[in-house]
Amino acid sequence: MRPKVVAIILLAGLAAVTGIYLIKHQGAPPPAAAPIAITEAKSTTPHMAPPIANVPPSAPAPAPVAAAPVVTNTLTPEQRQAAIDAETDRLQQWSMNDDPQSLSNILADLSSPEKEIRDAAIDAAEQFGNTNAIPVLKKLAANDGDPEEKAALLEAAHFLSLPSIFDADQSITPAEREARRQARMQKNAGNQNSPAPPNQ
Amino acid sequence: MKLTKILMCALAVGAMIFATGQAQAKSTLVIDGNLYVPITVKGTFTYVDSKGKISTRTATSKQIISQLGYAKGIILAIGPGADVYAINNGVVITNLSLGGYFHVTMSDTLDTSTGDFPTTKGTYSEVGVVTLDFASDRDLEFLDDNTFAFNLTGTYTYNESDSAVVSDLYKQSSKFSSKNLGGLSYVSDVDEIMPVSGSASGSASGSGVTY
Repeated sequence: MRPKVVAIILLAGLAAVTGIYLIKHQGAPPPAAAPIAITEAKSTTPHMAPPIANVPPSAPAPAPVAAAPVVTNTLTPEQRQAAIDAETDRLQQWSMNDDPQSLSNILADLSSPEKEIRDAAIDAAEQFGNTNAIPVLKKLAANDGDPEEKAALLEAAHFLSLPSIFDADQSITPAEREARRQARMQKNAGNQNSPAPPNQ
Repeated sequence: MKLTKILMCALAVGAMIFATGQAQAKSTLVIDGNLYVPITVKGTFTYVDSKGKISTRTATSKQIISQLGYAKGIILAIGPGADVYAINNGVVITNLSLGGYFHVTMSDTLDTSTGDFPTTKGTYSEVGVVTLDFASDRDLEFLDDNTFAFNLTGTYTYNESDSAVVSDLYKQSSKFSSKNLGGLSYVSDVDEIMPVSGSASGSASGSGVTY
């Protein structure tokens, strides 16, 4: 092939990739979500996890979890840590949302090759508070060789299976609750104003 | 050079640009030169339900934020003065400690450090006892004067690494973890003082922290 043709093809390829990159980052709200495989020069065996199938029936189905784009370029330890930190920041933000895409992003990160990201994803799944994460957590636990991580995944699944304290039905009417509250406040105020016991 | 090799080269360059961009995304956790460390709290509450049985329920920091009336997306973070703040996308919404809603008190028992920060990079680690006090109606003395309140205590670990200070700025990474917290709580829906167990954790990293 002639050098001119080679140069044109190379430039076209670069332009296409740069274009994709710019489109992906311009005005994008929280960056999209597939787990990042961050590979250092001295790479270790990646954590293998089964594919995730998450479909929350109660909410619109989240976008299917895309296959992780495995970025295999060499990063310095600082760059690697920066990428991990950036992803854990995003997980923190997603955990506070309520949309299917955020849940999908969190579940995808449960399979990240980075333990730090997986741990943050478990926390995020608990905080997100959607029971649709339970089967995913259990499935990952069943295939996880690390006993500590397995326990964390199962604990998260159990935590999500419990109802919220704010949904507790104690059959108390609002009027009864308010009356009790007033009585308690009076009692507490009385305790506060009572003279201190004499020193022994 | 074959066409496939040329395209692979181009893709490799693109992948490197992509990864670097991901890694260098600006942190929204450094606000006015201070690093805010987002914290997540979860608790498991035990009470006697209306059928007379012991029942277990949960709460998360997301629900705590909701209890305070803040919109979704707002996160809890420990910031300057070890106060608890509500923040959102690089903006401080309010200081919850100053408002009397939420206090996290860390009592350092043991600590150790390496390096010669701020001249060189350094690390700092400490362990101790932490107390988390939350009161939705700002009455930290009487839990049951609030709609929702808890008082949790347990041990914690805190790890920090700092870069050398250059032009009064440095990069800080902080990680906080406290498991096996325990204490008392109150939720008006249940209307009982309840035992609660839980955990709290958080981590953050950011450049541009002011020394």
